[in-house]
Amino acid sequence: MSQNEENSDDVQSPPVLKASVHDIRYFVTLLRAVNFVNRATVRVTSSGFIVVVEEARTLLGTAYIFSGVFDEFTYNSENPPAAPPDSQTSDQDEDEDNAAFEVPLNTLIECLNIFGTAGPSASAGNSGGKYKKWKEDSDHEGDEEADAGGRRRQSSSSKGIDSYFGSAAGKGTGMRMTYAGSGYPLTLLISEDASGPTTTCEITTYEAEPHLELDFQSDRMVLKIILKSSWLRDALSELDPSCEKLTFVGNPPPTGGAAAPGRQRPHPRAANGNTPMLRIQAVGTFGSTEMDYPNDRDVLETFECTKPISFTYRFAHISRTLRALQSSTKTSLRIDNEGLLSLQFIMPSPKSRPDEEGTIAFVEFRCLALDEEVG
Amino acid sequence: MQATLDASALKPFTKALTCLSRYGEDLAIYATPESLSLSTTNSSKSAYCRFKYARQFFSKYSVGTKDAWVDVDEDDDSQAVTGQLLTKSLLSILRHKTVEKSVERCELSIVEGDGTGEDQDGLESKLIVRLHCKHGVVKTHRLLLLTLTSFLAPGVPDSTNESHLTVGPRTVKDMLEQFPANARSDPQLLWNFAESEVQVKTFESSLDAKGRSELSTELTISVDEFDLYDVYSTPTTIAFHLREFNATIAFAESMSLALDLRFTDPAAPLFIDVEGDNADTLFVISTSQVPGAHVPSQAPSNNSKRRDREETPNARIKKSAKVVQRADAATMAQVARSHVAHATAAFTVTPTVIPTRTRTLFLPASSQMSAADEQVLRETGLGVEDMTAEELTMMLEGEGEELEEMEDVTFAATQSSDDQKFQPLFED
Repeated sequence: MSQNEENSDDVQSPPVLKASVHDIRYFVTLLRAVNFVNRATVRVTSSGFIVVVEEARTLLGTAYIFSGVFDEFTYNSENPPAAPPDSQTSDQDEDEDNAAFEVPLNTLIECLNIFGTAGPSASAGNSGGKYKKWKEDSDHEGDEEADAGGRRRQSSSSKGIDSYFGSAAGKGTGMRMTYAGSGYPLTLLISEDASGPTTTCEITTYEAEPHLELDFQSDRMVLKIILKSSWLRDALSELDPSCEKLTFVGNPPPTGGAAAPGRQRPHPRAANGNTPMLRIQAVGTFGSTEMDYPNDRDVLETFECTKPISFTYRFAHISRTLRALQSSTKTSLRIDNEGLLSLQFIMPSPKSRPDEEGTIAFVEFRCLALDEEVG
Repeated sequence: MQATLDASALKPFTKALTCLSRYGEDLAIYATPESLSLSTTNSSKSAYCRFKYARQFFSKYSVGTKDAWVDVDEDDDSQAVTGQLLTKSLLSILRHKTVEKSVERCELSIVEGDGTGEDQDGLESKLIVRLHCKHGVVKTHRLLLLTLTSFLAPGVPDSTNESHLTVGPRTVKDMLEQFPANARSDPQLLWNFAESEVQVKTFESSLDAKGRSELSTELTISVDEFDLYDVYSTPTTIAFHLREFNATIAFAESMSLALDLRFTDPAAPLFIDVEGDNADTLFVISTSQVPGAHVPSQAPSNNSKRRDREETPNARIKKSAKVVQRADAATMAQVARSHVAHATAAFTVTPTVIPTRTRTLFLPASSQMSAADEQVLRETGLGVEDMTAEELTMMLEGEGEELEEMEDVTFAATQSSDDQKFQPLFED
């Protein structure tokens, strides 16, 4: 096939995508966050690498990996440069010129972890000692690490400063990724360190098919919450796995909630009334669970709710976000008036400060609410 | 029922539930105004585990209607609240890793399904676990509570020939580490309590699923390792399964509490008490018949079978006897009350023992002697323990008629003694 003749790219045209990174762990973490369906649509633009997966026409997971995540990121449009980019693209929410293809996500992750060094996630939200231990593990005992990483069961809550500075000095596994263009495989060149072995993987790509589009329009938003990811993660992990449905209940804060003031307004601690501002409830085989979150800045950093709402989702879908939750620091939870849920998770990068523009990737999940039962 | 646990009490409570979950699946809750009992038996009813927490264990505790927060009449057993649920479902809530970090207070309450409680939907009783976490986060779990259909109470140990041992959990654990147990295999260990040392070895009958015998291990430790070593008659040999015993050891170790072991003859259950602050824990593990423990050359396979046939009325001699008896609803209140009033007294009540004299008369019928028989023989002081079975038969030959007569008498006596055995529990 022509796929093996990619050397000719140098003389013909530059590859559509050329990206490299000296430590793949952050990249793998982001991919794993959406690895609940194997077939993923990858969209490459000049600003980054976007991975989209969908499940049951209800749940859409998107990982936005900006070009800053990579050490080197070059995008060369396949489209004729003369054409205006916005007329060429068919995607509604993506004005930029892009190249899209589908790839088996699981295979991509396994290839990246071929040395067992992709880690549980270099950037995963692990505090203190545990994080350090893991990091050492990933440097020295790769295989064991990979096993643990594949499951990614353990994780602790808060973010240590290590996660921002720790792995910069570490010698991770480096990667160079090229995609020559439509019909070509995604080629990965992975090496453990400069003197170690090198692996070349070619992953077959498929033509991108249209996927579910769930537009979240902020003017229809009825609930917006920003909270530490650990709160939501703990809540979801405490629920009985037998639960089928999960309901988010939001009530306007007691003090002038309808005005929905800006996020900087400090909520008074004592304002917790009878109705909880945020309630997560689920019903399982052995009973039901309710979790109430008060109007406390330590818990809910931002809370905007215009009217009392209650939307139910399939717990299996919501629990798909757990992997992303484990690696993220902050979560933005938004629900629009039709129940469309948007969960955005900020995935802190190990190499940069959290406020640096362009390097902080995030993962977004959108999920449709279940129709209210009749009667 | 309402009970509030603070963070420091929640930990031992969770450990207790962990232990209970290793004994059996179902958790029986029995709450009286004075104490809360949690108990379970394993599926074959050969092991029983009960944790009883005095009201002082809780930062708040009340049984009865919500307005009856004041002390209720202690004798009023109608106040008792009961229920049953899967241990796992409660444990998975309390054992969650975030609970230890963030929970400040845990409220347990049982809402009877009369439709008037805060739970509007229906007639089901519920156990409500409300976790008050840091920052005012409240997590409420409602677990369906089943009706406690049968209340199981352990039998009563003989006190006349009771052996009493006290040992730290660490010592036992170090010993038992030599005997690996996993989910598939549940080995039996043979404990031989001698004058100056204790010998533990793998029971011969511990075969794996394919019938092959596993590694046989034998370990001897000095009596000095025990804090209290009072064996009624040495040597005494008992055998029991390791699984539940290991759960007990693990609990005692996590709480740093010593184990009180009590046992009588090789066929009666083993009782283990673990006393903690405001908590009284009882474990009962049935022991197995130990054939030929003292005379290793005699390990007849048909012996125990024959004995079973002969002594069917006495269920406790059967292999892996049930340690618990079903009690009806009327008596269980009394059982629980007697537990409350005299926790240990209830278990030291002396039942009528089978007359040892008549037991010897059984022997000629059997061509071989079991350890128990041997023991009994020794105790009669007839000096016949050194005889072989044949010699004994010879000696007793010609007394067949008398024997048959005696047999009837013995059966009657055994049965009546069985009846009496549990009576002291029900009277008060």
